[in-house]
Amino acid sequence: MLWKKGALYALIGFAAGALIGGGIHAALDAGDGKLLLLNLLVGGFYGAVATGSSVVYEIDEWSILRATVTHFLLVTVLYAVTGLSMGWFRMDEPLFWIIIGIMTCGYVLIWLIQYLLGRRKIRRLNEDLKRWKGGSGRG
Amino acid sequence: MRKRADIEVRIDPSCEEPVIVIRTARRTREVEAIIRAIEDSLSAESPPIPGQRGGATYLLDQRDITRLYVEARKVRICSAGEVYESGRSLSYLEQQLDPERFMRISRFEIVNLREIESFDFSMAGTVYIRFGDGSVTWAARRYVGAIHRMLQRLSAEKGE
Repeated sequence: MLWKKGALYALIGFAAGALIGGGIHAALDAGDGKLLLLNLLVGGFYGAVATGSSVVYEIDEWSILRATVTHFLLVTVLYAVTGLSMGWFRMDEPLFWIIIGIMTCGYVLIWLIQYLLGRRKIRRLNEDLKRWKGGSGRG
Repeated sequence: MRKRADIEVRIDPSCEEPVIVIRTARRTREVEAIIRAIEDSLSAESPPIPGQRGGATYLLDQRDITRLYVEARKVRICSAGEVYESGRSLSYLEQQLDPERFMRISRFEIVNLREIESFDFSMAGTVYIRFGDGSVTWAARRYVGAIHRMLQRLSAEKGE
């Protein structure tokens, strides 16, 4: 069951995201306990969506490109919305755009690596097929 | 004049499974018939698959089936260039199919390995399977490893 796997990933992501949200809160010295709770929750939510949605790579009907673009858009848009609304970044800060750039490069790299690995696997499959069929034909 | 062939059986304790060798000058129609008869006997456990088309039910020889897939919630069977329908589920049919010949390639499809012409990989990262009859389908990436292992096993068995 894909949704069960997604829920498990989301749970792990929530814990990691909350930890990062708390870390950012501490680093920014952002003040009171109420804001800390909000940072923990928003960080957790971001982590849950980012990891939970990684199951898109396991949807049979989806190509690597479709899964990568979907995950990239989800993670990047959510990053921008949560980061800006929580005051973790500002759009006029270079850091905001640097992170967007790093994320874009990261996803291009993910697609490229998966594409190259997939192509190699398919080459092997064709070699296996050729070796097996090698003159035996249909039987 | 009636054609006949000599049949020689050699007892060899080192052969755990029977090895059939046909000695012939040419691959004639008679030789093909012998091969088919041996295959029929060996695949007696692979029953024909019933498929419906135009109101009639046909018993489809597993060797003629290219692929079985789910489309619009119905199981369809491609056999010898025709498409048939089946009232059975894909999982049920999977149990009836010869595991040495058929393999699942996604949640929606089972293919006859012997009918595969080649595998392709698109830029978008989709695995495509081309069949000898020119048809094309896609395979889920998570089944690629299993297909690889199956083909390796089959070619190892063939090489023995």
